[in-house]
Amino acid sequence: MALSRREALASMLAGAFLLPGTGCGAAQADPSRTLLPPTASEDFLARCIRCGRCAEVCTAGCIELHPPWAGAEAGSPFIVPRVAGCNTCTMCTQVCPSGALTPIEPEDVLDAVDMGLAYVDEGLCLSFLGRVCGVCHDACPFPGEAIVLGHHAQPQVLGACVGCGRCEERCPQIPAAIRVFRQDPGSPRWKGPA
Amino acid sequence: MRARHLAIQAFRRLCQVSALLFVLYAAISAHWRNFKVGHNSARLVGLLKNEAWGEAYALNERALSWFGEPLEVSDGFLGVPWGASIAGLPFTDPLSVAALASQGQLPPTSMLVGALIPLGLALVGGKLYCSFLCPARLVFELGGAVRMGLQRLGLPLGELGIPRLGLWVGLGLVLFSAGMGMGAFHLVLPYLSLSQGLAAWMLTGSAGVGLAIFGVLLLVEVFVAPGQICRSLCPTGAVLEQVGRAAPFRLRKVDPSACPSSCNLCQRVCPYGLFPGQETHHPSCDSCGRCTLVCPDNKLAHGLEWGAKRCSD
Repeated sequence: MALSRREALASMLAGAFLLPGTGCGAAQADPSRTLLPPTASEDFLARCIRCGRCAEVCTAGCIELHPPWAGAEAGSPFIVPRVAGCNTCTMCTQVCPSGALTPIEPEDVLDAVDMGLAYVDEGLCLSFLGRVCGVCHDACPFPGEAIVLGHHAQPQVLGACVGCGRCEERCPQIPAAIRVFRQDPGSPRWKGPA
Repeated sequence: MRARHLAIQAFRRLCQVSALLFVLYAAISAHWRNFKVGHNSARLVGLLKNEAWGEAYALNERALSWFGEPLEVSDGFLGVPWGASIAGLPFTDPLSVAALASQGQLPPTSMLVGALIPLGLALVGGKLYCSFLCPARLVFELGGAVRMGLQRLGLPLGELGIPRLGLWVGLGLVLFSAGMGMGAFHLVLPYLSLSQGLAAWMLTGSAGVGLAIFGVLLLVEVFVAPGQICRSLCPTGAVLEQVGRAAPFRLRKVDPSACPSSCNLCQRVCPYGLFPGQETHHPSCDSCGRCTLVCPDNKLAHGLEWGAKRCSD
């Protein structure tokens, strides 16, 4: 295949012409308010090949895929816990072909999964406002281990929280009084109203 | 002989439609799995959605249960041909392995095994993936039929030739993903934008931008440059072409006698404008076999042939 320098350059450009088009595009979902599927590796975006198998196998229906204009994240999966939290079935980890998710079994979830950590806004939480709620505790897949209820069913999140987001999904308060945040260094953590 | 050519074409259409249906089914199955885990009852699904959903749910369950526990069998049909699990077997585009490796990642064994399938197919039969399995090619061929109809109506349509840049597009994409992750392939690779767009549509109910991108490519195919996207720009096709340069299964001229100098039917029917009658169709030919049907003397056929080919480029 004979190729002149101009043709080669033009095609390199064709291959990379999306760089500005995709790099500047804002992701659809606010990255600080989304979670990655369980056991996402440190270099998740690099490892994910965007095949969508995790979203197709998700039994909770919580895994969505970034739209094509979402820059470097396009086609990769994310979870918006307020829409649907993860039910920790671990199917997505088992079907991932590229090692972006590490395969685990459901009984390993408490040890191996760290999607984020739930934070309670005591200024919003019904139980802190004099009503007895406790819905977050009942929604949690690890009640008693990840979250405990104190006096008047006031929730307290413990370090074992895997960040599945079911508490945020089920919280009856609007806006949610318990929210899950990724534990990435530098990610904005929400600690209640300023 | 003609019956055999027709049978090959029928088989090819069957493979193409199956590949397209697989993409749709894998994505639609996500809903079935959610119902299965959430309700596990066709009656409940019927009450929640409507009768048709309930019946479709039950039908899928019955079909899957022939092969084992329905949910487990269903988990074997996932993804798009870029990185799919088909009846539990991995199937991976070699480019996705290259893109992963370009980031310093060691591709897992399942991906390497999955890439062996298209590469092995290419070593034996050249670009058979393109003509028999690629979902985009099927739609492009439909576009070609539309194009022919428009031309019959007398519309002047473009006939642009594009230099063969597939390998360079692939290299550009791999380099792009080395720095930026793998977010660019589905914006360029036709079959990936089509299948990801369809999967997103089936999953979320709204047509993705993948389909819009593929729509633009289809317009280019129909109105501007017929056959050029597959032949000159598709990076996967270019990789398979290079791997399959010496593939023994190929479309060839079985009758060595010269063709009448006025006849160019095979060239006119070739989606890429190649000329099998003069044996210059390698290596771009993907053995789709459309020329075998039109040759008045039955000089062209699929078959095994060892040794070098005459190459047009």
